[in-house]
Amino acid sequence: MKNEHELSEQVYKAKEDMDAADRLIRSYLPFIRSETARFLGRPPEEGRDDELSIAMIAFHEAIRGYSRSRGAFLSYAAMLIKSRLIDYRRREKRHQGQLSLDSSPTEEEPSLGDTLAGDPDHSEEIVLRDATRAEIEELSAQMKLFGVSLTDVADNCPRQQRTLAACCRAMQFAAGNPSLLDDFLRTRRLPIAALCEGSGVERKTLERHRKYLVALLLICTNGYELIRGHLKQVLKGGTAK
Amino acid sequence: MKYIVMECRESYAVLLDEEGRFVKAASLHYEVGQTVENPVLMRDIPPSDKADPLRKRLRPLAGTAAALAACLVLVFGLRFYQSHMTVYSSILLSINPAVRMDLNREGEVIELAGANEDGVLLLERYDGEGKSRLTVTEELIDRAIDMGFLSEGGRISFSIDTPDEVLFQEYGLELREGVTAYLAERFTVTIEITAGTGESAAEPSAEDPAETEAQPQETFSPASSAAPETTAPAATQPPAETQAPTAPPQTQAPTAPPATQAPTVPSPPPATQAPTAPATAPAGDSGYGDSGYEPPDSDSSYEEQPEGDSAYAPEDSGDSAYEDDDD
Repeated sequence: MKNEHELSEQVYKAKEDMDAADRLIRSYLPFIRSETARFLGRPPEEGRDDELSIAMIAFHEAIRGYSRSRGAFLSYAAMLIKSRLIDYRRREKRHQGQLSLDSSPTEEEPSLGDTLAGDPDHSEEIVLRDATRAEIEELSAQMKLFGVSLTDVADNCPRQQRTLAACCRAMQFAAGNPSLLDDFLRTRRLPIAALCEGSGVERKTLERHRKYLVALLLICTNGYELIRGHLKQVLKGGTAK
Repeated sequence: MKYIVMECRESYAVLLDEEGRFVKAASLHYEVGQTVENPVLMRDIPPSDKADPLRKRLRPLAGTAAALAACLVLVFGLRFYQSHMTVYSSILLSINPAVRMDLNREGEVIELAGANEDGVLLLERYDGEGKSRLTVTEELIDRAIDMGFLSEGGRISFSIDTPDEVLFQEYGLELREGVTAYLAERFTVTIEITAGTGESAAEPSAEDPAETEAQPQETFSPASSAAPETTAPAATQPPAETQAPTAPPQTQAPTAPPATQAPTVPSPPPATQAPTAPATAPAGDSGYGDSGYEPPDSDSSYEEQPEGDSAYAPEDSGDSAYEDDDD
């Protein structure tokens, strides 16, 4: 009983603090694994079974969604893990009838993956991935200067389509005003008043998604061509559909 | 929809979709920079509607607390109401116009009423609510002077009706000193103070105060100087006719004042009253000088305002008071 109380204290702390959440998940990894094993009917294989990752994200959801009125944390987490795994299995069912690249029709023949002529393509992909990773590392380093992490941004990201569109309008306005971006980089302060006036978005909306906007505006500055390429649909001006 | 993997953590990955959303998803062996499709996104769980158990536990207590607060408000409100809004004591001021002042427990005037026709006239367009008794008295005296009711050598009598002996003394002294000082420059008037009973709307029952007031009168009349001479004709008089006017009061008058009154009021009233009383008596026999020792006369002077008279003097109290005094 006392343990349970301590655990729920930890969970409440982890809601605010991502590092605490990570620590909590690490210490409860055996629990997550056993829940997955119960579902699969066999121990999950590290690095092979996606189910384990699903179970982990479910545990993470459980941390965020937990409140004391929902009972003991562990039974809540177990329930959530199970239902997420069921969801995942249903989703995967749609892909049934498709063959895994790793599997081979008969034991003697080479696996399907080996028959594909994908090597050059593959290396190109790796080059692209490395370039993107370099950009992302640069971006997160710069975001650190602003005191914002990628996880923060994910938590701060607008949930509603309308709000997202408003934030994107602000970003478009900033992208069209290089001087505004220069000021932003120099002062490290979000030019909320200018954004509000220029894009016609309500000030409150901008203030509420400050961290998210920091990330968006940084992406608009020099050096993030690949990420901008990914977002070209938004930057072009067509608001998010 | 394609997603770029922005960050990989042990339990989740941060992805960026094409619309600019940053989302968390299950990290299915992703690497940073990778482009992925169909990730398993993390869902937002709406906060539970149910109240926090702690709050749930406190809910019945909240009702109790509210009830308690209501009780407190009620009790203190009642206390306030009783001490400020209800009539606790009253003072009948009679110059010739008679005015009744109802006071609350704090001694503030909460109501003024004319006790005879002139009194009603005196109070016309006058608002004394919330003022102190002395202020009201002084203002009313001013008005009486303006309206010609009070002039040199006139008489002002206060009949104080209060269930509390201490208050009676306090009010009596205060009114006497206050009015004397107030009129010192202008007039010499006679001031008399008596304990009135029951006339007012005051709630103390007629019986109770009668008994308690017997004492105040005893103690007060000697203590308050001029009283014996001038209080004699007071409204309480009639039933005690035969005893009151006899010698004792007269002999008491000279003896008492020097002894007891000197410390309290080394004032003109007794000194000046004595001479003025006889002097003005023949001139203005409007119920002052002569009334003192001739019961029939005092009666007649009061018969001018019969209501005042009858209402004023429950016989027992006056009677007993004066009997005690005399013996």
